[in-house]
Amino acid sequence: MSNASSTEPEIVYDKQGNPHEVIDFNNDYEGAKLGFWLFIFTEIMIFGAMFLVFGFYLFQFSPDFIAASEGLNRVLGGTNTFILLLSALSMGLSLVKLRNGKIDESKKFIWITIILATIFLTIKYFEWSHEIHIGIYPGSPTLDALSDGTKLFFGLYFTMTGLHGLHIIIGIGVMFWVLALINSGKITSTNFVVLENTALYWDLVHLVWVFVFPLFYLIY
Amino acid sequence: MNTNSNQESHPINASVYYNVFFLLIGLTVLTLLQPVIINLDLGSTLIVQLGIAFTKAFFIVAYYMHIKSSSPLFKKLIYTTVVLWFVLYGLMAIDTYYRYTPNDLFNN
Repeated sequence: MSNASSTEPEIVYDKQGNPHEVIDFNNDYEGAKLGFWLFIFTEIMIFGAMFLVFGFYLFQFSPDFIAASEGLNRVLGGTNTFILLLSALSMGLSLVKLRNGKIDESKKFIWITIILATIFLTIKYFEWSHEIHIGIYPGSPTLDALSDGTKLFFGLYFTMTGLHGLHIIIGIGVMFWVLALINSGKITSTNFVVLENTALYWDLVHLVWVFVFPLFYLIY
Repeated sequence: MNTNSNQESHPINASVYYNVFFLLIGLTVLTLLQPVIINLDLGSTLIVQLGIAFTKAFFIVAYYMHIKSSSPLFKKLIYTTVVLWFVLYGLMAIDTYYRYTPNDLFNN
């Protein structure tokens, strides 16, 4: 465990070989996590504002929202829910493995998360393609001819699932960066805060979907 | 809590992740089955679906995001944020109810 090594004083040596105890160094675990939580709160404000807009218009245009929700593909949306759930598990397990010193297994679980995230995006691509193919996308003549509530529903649908998808793409990029850091020895079983924060980010992405899915797909 | 330590040292066990995972799977199945089992109106659907979503969110934040085993600093930070968040949403809900609807207070 990291406890034994982290409570021992860290010693550095000067050019003359005299030892000095390090009393302040740029390796603040709590600070790194606190900073990341503040970032998560800004993310919640972004998505939270969108959920507020959704809630407001759901109340104003209930029949339109219910009718539009019925047109979404629940099988694909539900599959994506399970894929994100699995990816959150594999991300968590990669952290467990790393902290227990199993570096290779940790990397394997990060790769599994990347693959699951890519499958999520592929499914989303087919879902959006179908909608765009039938003429439903922001500003399309087909959508413009529909009611205000339907326009708002699909505007919010594309904005929120699009922003969520963007977070998935960024998450995949961050996971590749984490893999590179593990390979170069910058993330270890005792210095894992970058992977822990990446896992926090991925849990946030999962958390947003937990609310996006029922509100868009299941209100019919 | 040793806030100056390099990394947190609470014991880490994969079984918690698996237990929460199966719980979340169960709740997701409930989410998907609700429209099939019972046909509710919009208000009841929202209560059931958001109830399940908030339960899932609690388990994700508590266990996957380690708030259960975090220092008091993080716990208090999350509690404060959640309270503020509910206040904001509550105010918004009241405003939504009394605007552009038959209950509109501003437009006679």
